[in-house]
Amino acid sequence: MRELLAYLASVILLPATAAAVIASPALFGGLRRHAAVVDGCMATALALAFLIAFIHEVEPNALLRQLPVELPGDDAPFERWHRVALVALLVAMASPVLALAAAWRPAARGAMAAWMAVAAGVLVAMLVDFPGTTGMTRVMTGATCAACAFMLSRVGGVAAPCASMLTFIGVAVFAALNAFPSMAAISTATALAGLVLAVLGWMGGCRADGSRTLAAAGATSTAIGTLAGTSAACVGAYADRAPAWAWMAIAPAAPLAALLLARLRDAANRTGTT
Amino acid sequence: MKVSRHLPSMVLVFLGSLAATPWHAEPATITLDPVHSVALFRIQHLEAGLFWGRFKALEGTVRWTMEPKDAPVFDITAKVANADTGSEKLDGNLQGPNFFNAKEFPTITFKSKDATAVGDRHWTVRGDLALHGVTKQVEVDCVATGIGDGPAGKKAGFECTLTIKRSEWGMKWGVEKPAKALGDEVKLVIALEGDVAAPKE
Repeated sequence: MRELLAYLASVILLPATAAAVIASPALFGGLRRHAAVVDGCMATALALAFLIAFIHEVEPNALLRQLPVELPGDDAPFERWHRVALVALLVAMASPVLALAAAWRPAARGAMAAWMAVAAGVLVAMLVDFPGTTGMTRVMTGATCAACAFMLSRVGGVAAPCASMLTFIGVAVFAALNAFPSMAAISTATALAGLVLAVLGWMGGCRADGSRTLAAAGATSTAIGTLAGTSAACVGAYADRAPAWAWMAIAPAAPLAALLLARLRDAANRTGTT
Repeated sequence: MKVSRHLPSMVLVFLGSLAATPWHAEPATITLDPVHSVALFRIQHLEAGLFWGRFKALEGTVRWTMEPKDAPVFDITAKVANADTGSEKLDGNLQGPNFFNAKEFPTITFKSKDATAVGDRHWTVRGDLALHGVTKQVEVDCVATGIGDGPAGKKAGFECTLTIKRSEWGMKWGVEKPAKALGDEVKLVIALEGDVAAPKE
């Protein structure tokens, strides 16, 4: 029992705790005024939560094997599903830059986020090659990431981290049902990190002077979309018992729902004011 | 005493036949019969019971002179898709990326390199075991179990045993995380039977 609790703590709780530590300074207090800081910290926190969960579930060498790093005594193979860790690392490194770019011209934030979504989709299609994938599958993976990121860039507030929580819960269940316990654990950790960010974001908004909606269009939307689409495609590549289209439905479901709810809310607000 | 005048020629013929006969017989190729060739594996589950499964329908060849002191040379392939645990769900789990990762590493092979005789038709065979994308040298205890007559000719059988640590082949799930879910040591018992083809002249 002790070993099981230690395993759950290291794989699931530790990444969520790390996400809270990274994002808290941006979600509470004065830093919340700076959209770039909020966006960058949330995106980095989510990506690092995913990466920490992967490293604890698998091993650090599984990521390092994909980098030009000498690993003496390491003779384990590179497995193509480990590519999700490299994607998470690249997202974490790019998030501060994306956040600054999105905040550079606030009026064009939406357009910048859309272009980031497209660029992320193209990079995923180029980098990610799971077993059994064809050129068309890789294009669909990139398109799914881009679609998720685009839809999330159109929602504000805590809806984005909430959507990420629901998406990764879906991926975790999908993985568990298809005999992929590692991705189930990693996705659960990322879902918990999303919940933590949503709660902290809401609490910070309650304490803020005036209403300050979280800026999620840019780095955060790109990070969630990229990780969600890649993770779902990864599980889908190994899920022989599931329909081929299942993973393409799981990844964008929550972002689409969040977008529709945001549009309905906006429509209701407009109706109320007229 | 009369010496036959044919004696010199008889001696020459005898010496010539000795020269033509090789000191070691040519190895015959034994093609494995998939129905009767299987690899059993045993692993500990949750630090409790010892669980058995098998890879059925092994393929490959064994080259052997059929002489008791000559070691056979094995070239065997098991398909990961042929894993059979008695549970369809568990069979599917074993194909997944946390275990054999069949989509990337669909086969397990053993190719022997050399051997040492430890008894009559009993050898320690050294060779390369390729599993989960990693190739390592292993020592296998091999016994020739018999040579018999089948409907299509001679048949030969072998039984080989070895124990490996799966973590050395990168199969670590359950060893440390989650801790002690599955054992690291795996015992393998490989039963082989094949059809003996006569050596080429």
